[in-house]
Amino acid sequence: MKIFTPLSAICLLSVPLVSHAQLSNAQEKDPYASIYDHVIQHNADNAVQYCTDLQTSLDSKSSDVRHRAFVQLAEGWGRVQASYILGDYDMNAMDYPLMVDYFHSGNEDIHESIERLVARDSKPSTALYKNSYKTMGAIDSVMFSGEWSERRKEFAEVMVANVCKRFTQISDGYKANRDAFLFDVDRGLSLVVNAEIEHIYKTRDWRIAQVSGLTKANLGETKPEHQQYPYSEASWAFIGGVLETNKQLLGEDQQPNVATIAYEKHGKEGIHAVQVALASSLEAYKNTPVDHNFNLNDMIPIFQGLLDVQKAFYRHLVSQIGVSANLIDADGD
Amino acid sequence: MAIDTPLALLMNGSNRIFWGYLIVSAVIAIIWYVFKVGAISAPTLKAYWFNADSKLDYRYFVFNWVFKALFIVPVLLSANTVALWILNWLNSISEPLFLSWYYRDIIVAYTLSLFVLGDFSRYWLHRWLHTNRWLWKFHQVHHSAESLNPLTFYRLHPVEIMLFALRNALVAGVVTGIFVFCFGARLNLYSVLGGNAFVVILFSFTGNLRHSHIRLSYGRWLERLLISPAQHQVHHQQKNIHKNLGSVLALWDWVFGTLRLSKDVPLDQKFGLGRGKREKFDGIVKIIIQPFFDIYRSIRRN
Repeated sequence: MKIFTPLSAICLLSVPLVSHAQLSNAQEKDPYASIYDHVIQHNADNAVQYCTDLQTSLDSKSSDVRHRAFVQLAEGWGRVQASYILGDYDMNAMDYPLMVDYFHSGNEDIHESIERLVARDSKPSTALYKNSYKTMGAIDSVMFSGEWSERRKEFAEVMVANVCKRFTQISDGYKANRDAFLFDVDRGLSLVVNAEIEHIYKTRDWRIAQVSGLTKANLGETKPEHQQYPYSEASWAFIGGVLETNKQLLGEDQQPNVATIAYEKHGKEGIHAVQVALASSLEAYKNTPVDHNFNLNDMIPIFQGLLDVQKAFYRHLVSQIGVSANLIDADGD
Repeated sequence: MAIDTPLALLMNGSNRIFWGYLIVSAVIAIIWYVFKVGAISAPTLKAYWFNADSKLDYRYFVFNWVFKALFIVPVLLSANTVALWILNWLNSISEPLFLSWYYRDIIVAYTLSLFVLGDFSRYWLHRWLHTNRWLWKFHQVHHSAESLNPLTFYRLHPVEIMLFALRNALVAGVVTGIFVFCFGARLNLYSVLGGNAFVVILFSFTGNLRHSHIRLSYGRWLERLLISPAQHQVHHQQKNIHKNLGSVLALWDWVFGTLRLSKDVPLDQKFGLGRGKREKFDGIVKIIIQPFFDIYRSIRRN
């Protein structure tokens, strides 16, 4: 019986400890829920709304209204793609981004194909049989590369309906997978950060460097026609969307977010460098002249800013993975 | 590059002398001793834990930690630095791959790569310490012990410590740099008690018996795959000093011809470098100075 007393004491003492552990665990999950609800889900829901607005705008006689609606959707799409992780939770969702936007996929000149189809008299629903003919690039082409007409409107309706369907699937998919994300928060966070890095890189390289002539391969050769949405010139809005999502995920004033978790786990140093680089990228974005047309000199600050974000991200990542040599562990035998 | 305090070494599962591993090793040792030898007596324990070699190991363990903290950690290349070099170099020659493997598979591949390549590089560095006449002068420090205890593991010349730390930085850095390039942020390490899962599962619970007199064998078959405590003790015997150079895996010894199964070696428990050699390294100052003196003499002779 003697053992009963210390054993009971241990059990009693462990009760508040367990409760505290659960409490702090719940608190720690807050930023994860916030990331999911206020960034990922929120941006997906907004994209659905912007897409509906674009559908409505197709009936407008005003080209400005139509243009504004498309630019808004491009920005919303940029926000969604910058943190797109649904494909990791739902195999079917892996290809949704491709169904929304064919930019940098395949060699087909979508504009040329769409113009050819517009010139014919086949039904739009039949003519637009390929997925790539019903994406954002195709909408950009049909709405802004030629005189607005009933025929173009019919084509645009089919295309926009397809894109809206995909955004709805993305939004619903996120709703269905919230628990899976919060069940394994480490995995969820790594997917979010990975999406951030991937799209920071693709934005810098595909959407800025290759257009303005800042890659080794095309140094000095500015080709605005290579931008993501050359006819509406909504590419800049997409880039802004990518940056805004990163601001939502990392911004000091947007917490709880990725920064909150990074502070808790690894201190301020690593993530602060990412925040500083991101802030200077956003600043460069805002300060770029409106009529930049991807001029090389105008693009250098934002290109450099995004490169710094990527490098800072990598530095932070490498240090948080914990490969730093523990000398004791590294000793011989 | 962080370094734990001597006490913290007992608290972290990524260290050889983590308290959990020590307790498991102690339990195994007691069971083995009772069954193989007989009752454990206080004089026997005293003779083992308080002989001249053991006491030197305790003193040198503290010196070793101070030396690392003051002179090695601040100046040594870190795995993070190497990882970033590799990453920047790969990014300069190619687009990042962002391969879409399953998260679980990436973690298994990363953990396994660090373990296998880490162990492989340890084998070759250890082999180099034995085959290179200059490096052997430094590695002799470790082999000078004639009584083995878990802290003998730390009886290493600072030059050897630096070589092993550099090896670790290069291997961990290169592997990490490549993995981040391939998979971006979807990278993590499967760890158990804070250490690499493979190392902990395959090694850590018997790791402290390697430097002991508990001749625990894994049997003929398993000793071709994993280095047993008995095999490492064979390595500390003068006659087999260039055999069993592996750390966790015996596979490298088997493939590269340096394997010696413990059953093939008589139970000759004489550890060390041979008659009269121990005195050359029986103090902290001697441990530090003697290798340089030996090298100087060799150069003079040639």
